[in-house]
Amino acid sequence: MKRLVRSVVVGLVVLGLGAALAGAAPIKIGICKIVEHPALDAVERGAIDALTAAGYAEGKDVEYLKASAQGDYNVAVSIAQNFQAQHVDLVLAIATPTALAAAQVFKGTSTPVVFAAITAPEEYGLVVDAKDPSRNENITGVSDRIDVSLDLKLLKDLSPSIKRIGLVYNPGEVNSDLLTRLAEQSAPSLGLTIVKVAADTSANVPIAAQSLIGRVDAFFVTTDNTVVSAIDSVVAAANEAKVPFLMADYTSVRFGPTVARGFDYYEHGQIAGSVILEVLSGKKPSQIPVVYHATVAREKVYVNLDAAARIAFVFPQAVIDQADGLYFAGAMWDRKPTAK
Amino acid sequence: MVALLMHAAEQGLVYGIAALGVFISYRILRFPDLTVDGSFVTGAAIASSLVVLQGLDPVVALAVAFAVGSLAGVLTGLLNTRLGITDLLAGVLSMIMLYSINLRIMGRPNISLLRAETITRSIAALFAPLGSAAVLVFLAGIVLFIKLVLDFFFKTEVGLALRATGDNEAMITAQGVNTKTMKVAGLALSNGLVALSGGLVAHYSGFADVGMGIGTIVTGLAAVILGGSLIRSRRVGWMTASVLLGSLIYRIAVMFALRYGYVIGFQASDLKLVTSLLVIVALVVPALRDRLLRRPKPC
Amino acid sequence: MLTLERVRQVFPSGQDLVVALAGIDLVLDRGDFLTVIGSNGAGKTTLLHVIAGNLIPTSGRVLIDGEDVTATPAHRRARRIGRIVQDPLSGTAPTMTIAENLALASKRSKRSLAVALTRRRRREFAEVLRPLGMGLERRLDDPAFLLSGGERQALTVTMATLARPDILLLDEHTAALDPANARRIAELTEAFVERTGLTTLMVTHNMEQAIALGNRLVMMHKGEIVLELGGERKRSTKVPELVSLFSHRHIADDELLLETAP
Repeated sequence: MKRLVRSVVVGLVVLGLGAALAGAAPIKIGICKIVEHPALDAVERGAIDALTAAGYAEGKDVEYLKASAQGDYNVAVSIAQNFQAQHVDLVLAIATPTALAAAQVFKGTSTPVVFAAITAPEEYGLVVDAKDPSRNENITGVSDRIDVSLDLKLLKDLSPSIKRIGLVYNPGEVNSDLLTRLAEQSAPSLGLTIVKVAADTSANVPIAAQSLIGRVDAFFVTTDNTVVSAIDSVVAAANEAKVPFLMADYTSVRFGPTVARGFDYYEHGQIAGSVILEVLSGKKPSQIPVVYHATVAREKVYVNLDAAARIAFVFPQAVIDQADGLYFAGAMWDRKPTAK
Repeated sequence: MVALLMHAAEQGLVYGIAALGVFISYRILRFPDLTVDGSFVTGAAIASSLVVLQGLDPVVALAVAFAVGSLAGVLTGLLNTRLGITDLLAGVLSMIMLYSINLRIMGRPNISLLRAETITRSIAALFAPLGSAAVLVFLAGIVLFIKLVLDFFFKTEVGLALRATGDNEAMITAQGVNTKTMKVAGLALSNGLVALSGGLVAHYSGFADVGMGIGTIVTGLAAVILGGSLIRSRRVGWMTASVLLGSLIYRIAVMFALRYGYVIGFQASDLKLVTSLLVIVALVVPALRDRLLRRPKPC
Repeated sequence: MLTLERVRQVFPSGQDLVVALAGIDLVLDRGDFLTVIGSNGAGKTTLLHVIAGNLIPTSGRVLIDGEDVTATPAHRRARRIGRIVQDPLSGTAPTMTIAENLALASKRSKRSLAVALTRRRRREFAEVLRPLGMGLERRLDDPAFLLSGGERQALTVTMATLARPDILLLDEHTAALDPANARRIAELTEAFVERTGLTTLMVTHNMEQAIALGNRLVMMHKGEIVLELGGERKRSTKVPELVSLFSHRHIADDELLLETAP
């Protein structure tokens, strides 16, 4: 009888200790981004919410260390080194410079690095092979690569008279540079020409946009931080030229482009979160291929009826039928999912 | 904490080379040279594109980076001495030109060195027994070597003439020195060092980005002025040491601010503000001290 | 040694032209010591600038030892010309040490990557500074800004001696010093010139000094040489005579007169 009591007590103590230990060591996740930006902030939120929904309560099971490099590339390295000194268990790196810095600092270590909002992880050298992760060591993540030709097709669908497409971009931004080149490559097969104009700082965006007036049948802007920060001037130029304007980020439809198409970055964050969950459950990054958002969910299209009215543009019915929502009378209206 | 300090020391050393470059143009030549924001990236661009795209040995790539960086300095020097453009403006013009040139060199805005044979990777492999301290030891050796070479140079006839060009141009001209040539040579050396620093930083950080040079003049000046307020000697050996010390202190301060600053709501974007405040304090404190002790102010 | 042929220097000033030098002809033989006096604006300093190469004359020629140097840049002419000006601070590099300043001055030709301050050189410099009696030889590693005006001018004179130029130009080099230092620097310069037999051109406001020193004297007024004295005639001239020569040409200058007051 005594022996039974003793083993029960020992068992209870062990259980108690186990519970205490399990509760005493939350997982540390370092989240870093290159700038604060609605899209990047949405990624961060989406990832955190995904983890919370899966049972990792913030503060209890997981502790987040958040940092923004505020546009300074050199600081990105310091932030990653900081994470390392604080012994984080995993890094979520949002956007290219921060991802590269984290990858460098944690190279050769066992700390997993999960990246998000990277257009071309293979080209940037973040991973050796996006599809076959066996040589990617401790790095994997989510890519928001878009098929630019789909955007161009959408522009073509807006009106048969659209042949020349004006593109304002910052050649100093790596994803913008890449997407611009891809657009130039795919345009000819669609019977379109790209007229690109460079603006290396947001101060130069207005002039660049204005230089396109009269030379193009439509305006186009990709996910370019520099241009987006001065988007009003591009909208103004497009209105002055009385031509449609496509922005590659659907949440930006409220800024005035005729039509906006892009990923839901909160959703993107949730996808990143699911990759993190896979890692936390024991899978190694070298076992997880890069997830392309386009394969998980498609881009959303929003048409801006207010903007169209300003330039007396009428949408083809087909475009409206396919849109995921409208911007009208100053507010976003989402299409209700139709019953199947 | 030790790891943090080691990283801060590593950064203090690599950026310290750029600080030495700024020291030469700003302190020795009395030429405020803004070219460095551009030549820093030029060094990074060359050192990374040569390794990634041409497969060159990292040491060779860094040497070429130094050479091309000094050309940037020659450009600014010629703009100033031959075309009569003022020092500040000449530097700005060069910096702007370099932005386009750097993009051309890289072919794209960002080059990743993650899987390339960088100098830091070679060193870590060569000095494996030193473990994580290998890079620090290597950098310390390189920087010490550069410092000693500079110290020796400034004791030579040419080096002395260079110092005099900044100290009393009329006098040294009357002593037979072509100060135009001196300025161009000084700026070449200065920007060569800055470009070398940029190349090393690219290898160290694992990437080169066309925007990574912004603020080089500010952090360089911060190191020079911080160090100069701590070590007041006018002897060359001490002056170069003070620059490196200033760079180390600055990077340690940055590390601490990033690590613990969240307590007061500090963000990375506040760094530039803090740097300027540090520089102002470093400039004012010695002047205040002199005034309190009624010491004669040096020119 | 030094020849000036019909040297004219004209400056534009607004709509007008200022004639600083109105055709100067001057010949100095090796070893001549010429003093130059004149009122302000007479062109004395302009003359020195033209000789040194800081100015290229509007017309005329400058020859040194037969070689036409009219258009040679200052830094190239500097190898043969030494210069000491009125401002005692401008002849030395302030943040560099006494030894470094002397090292700079002792090399006028193409500079190399050799060490500038060898131990032997330092000993030489100490020897050269000792006769000054100012204790500077003990302060070789002091930066120049720690020296007084008089000490810095003495250093400048010493630097000129090291360089062994062919011609020495002195532009009122004692005028900004207190009487004690002025006398000391003047003695230094005299001793140096006498010892080396340097061809010297000294601009001064002090008529006594102008008469006492050197073997020749010229008086300038409004860009021209209006009076020349040499040899015995110069030695025997007294200051009042000089003054009357001045007023005879209607160029009496209070400043000049004050300089000669006993």
